[in-house]
This record gives sequence, structure tokens and C-alpha cells, in this order.
Amino acid sequence: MACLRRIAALLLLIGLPGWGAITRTARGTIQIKGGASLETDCSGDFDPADTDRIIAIFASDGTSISTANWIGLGDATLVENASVDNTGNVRTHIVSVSGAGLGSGHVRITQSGTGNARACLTLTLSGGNGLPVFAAASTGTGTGTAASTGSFTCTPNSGADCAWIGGVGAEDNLLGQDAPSWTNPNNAGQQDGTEGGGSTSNITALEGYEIDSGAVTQALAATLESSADWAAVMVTYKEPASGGAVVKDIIMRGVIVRPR
Amino acid sequence: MPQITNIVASFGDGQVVAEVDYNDANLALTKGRIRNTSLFPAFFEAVLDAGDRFGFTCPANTNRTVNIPNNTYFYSRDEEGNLSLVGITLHSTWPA
Repeated sequence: MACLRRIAALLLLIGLPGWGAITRTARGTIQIKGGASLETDCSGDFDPADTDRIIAIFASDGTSISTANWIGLGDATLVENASVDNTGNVRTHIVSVSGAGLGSGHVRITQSGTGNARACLTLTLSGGNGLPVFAAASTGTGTGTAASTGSFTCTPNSGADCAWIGGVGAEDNLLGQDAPSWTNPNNAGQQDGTEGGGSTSNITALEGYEIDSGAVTQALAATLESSADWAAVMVTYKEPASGGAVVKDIIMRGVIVRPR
Repeated sequence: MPQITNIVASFGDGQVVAEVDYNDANLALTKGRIRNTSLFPAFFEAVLDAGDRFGFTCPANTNRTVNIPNNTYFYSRDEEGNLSLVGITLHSTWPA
């Protein structure tokens, strides 16, 4: 009986074995139509948790990223997980960094070359089991309304989730692209874009997302509202395996750790 | 027959770069190339709306250039004179 009470106390102390989950949070958008500055502050300030992955989807009228940094409390450089270039028309990047050790701030992207039309979408993925990390990516470029990437698989760790983040940059204004239809990933996320002048002088960025607890194989599939040159990226992030299986192992073997 | 190289995609902070060469005279894609300094393979493919596709895998830590079937996959030019991908999509994936 005493042994059972100890087991119950242990479970209460460390929590019942559970399923981790990834939560996506929209953090804001920005669009800029030209100007002399090469810098883009992608959102207002927010305070990421240590288990958050900070992600920015950046679409521009062709120029590459020189630097992507966290501006605020803490110092971090975002790593480019994947980028795709529809040459001369639109380029889309997905960059990310761990929120560990960072305080209130935002992502700032600095372009190479000229500061032309661009749009940036910021989000975070919070892992119930810990920090989601980059797993794989696929890209696609084309013209028309059917944006796509290659197909690939994300298999979650034990008791954990995969997050699918899709980003599509379109050489068009937001008004012409603000009603996309997302098939994969299956949720429409944030969107922003420039306006004014000829439609092809503008850039719109679109986000799709999906969280899965089982293995999934899929390609990005989104239908744009209007035909345009597009550049699409889809990236998967995986959180660590749940600690629940480890706890269960320990209890099944009858090992009791006394709390101090 | 001037050949021009375009970077199509990049992965893992530049560990993998996918490129295509094209003929500036007739806009035909002539070669696909993956420069892979990563520990994982990468994949590139060109897909026509009509259904044909051509792709190849580049092993880990390898550079690979492959001839694209002659005069089958083309860029086009839009009204502004920029390259465009009408009827064709270019995909890249890493790790493949």
C-alpha cells in the first residue's frame, strides 16, 4: 500500500505521461513598397518562450537576404531553412531561430541590393515537449494559380507532433491574392502584401500551416486567387519525443525516485 | 548558344543549392545541378503541366549536374521581358 502511495505521489509530482503538442501563434506581418531602406522589421515586439521557434516567411521582388536577426533582448541570428527563387519575379525565404534566452523583440531582415517590394509574416511554434527543430523542406516555382512544392514526409517523434509551415510569395498585390485556398498545409494563416502601381510591381506573402500527430506525406498545394509568378516553400519542424514513455518505463520497473 | 545559370532553391543556410542552366536563345532548360555539402541527399525535378517530369537525386556531400532532355522544358518571357514558368514547375526537396 505504501508503495502505491509513493507511485501516486510520484505521478502527481512529475505529471501523468502525456502527448506533447505544437502550438502555432501568429505574431504579425508587415509589407513595404520600396524605399531606400534595406531593412524590414517583420512584426511588433513579442516575448518568445524558451521552447518557441521563431519563424519568418519573407517574400521579396527578387533580392536575397543579407542578414536576419532578432532585435530586442538577447542576440540571435535566424538561419535560412529554405529559400526559392522565381528568377526576376519573386523570391521566398523561411528563416527561423530558437527563442531560448531571448526577450521581447522582433525579427529584422536586411536585404542585399535594393529595398524593393516585400512582405514578411512572423509566427512561433511552441512545443509541448520542447523546442521544435527543422526537419525537412521542399520548394517550388511557377506561374499561374496552382502553387506547389515537391512531396515529402514528416514522421513525428514518439508522443510528439510535426508542424508544416507553408509560405508562398506571389508577384502581385494583396488585393489580387488575399483569398487563397490552402489544401496542404490545410489551414490558412497570415497574409500581407503591397499595393499600388502595376500588379507585378507588388509582392504578397501567404502562410499556410498544419499540425499533425502522425506521419504525413504531402506536397504544398495552394490555389492562388489570381494568376501570378509564385515561389513556394514548405518546411517541417519536429518537437522532441514525449518524456512520458521514459516515466512509464521507470515506474514499470518499480524504481521510485524520492522527491527532495 | 549562351548558357545562363539560375539559382532555383537553397536549403540549410546554403548547404544545398539547386540550379538550372538555360539557353538564352530559345529559353530551353539544358542542365539541372545540385551543389550539396550536407549530410543528406537532395532532389530536383522539373514538372510539365502536361504530365511529363524529369528529376534526379544528388547524394550527400556531392555536386551533381544532369542534362535535361533536349528542348523539352522551357522558360518563357512575360510582358516585362522577365523569365516566367508557364506550364512548368520546378521543385526541390531536402533532405530527399
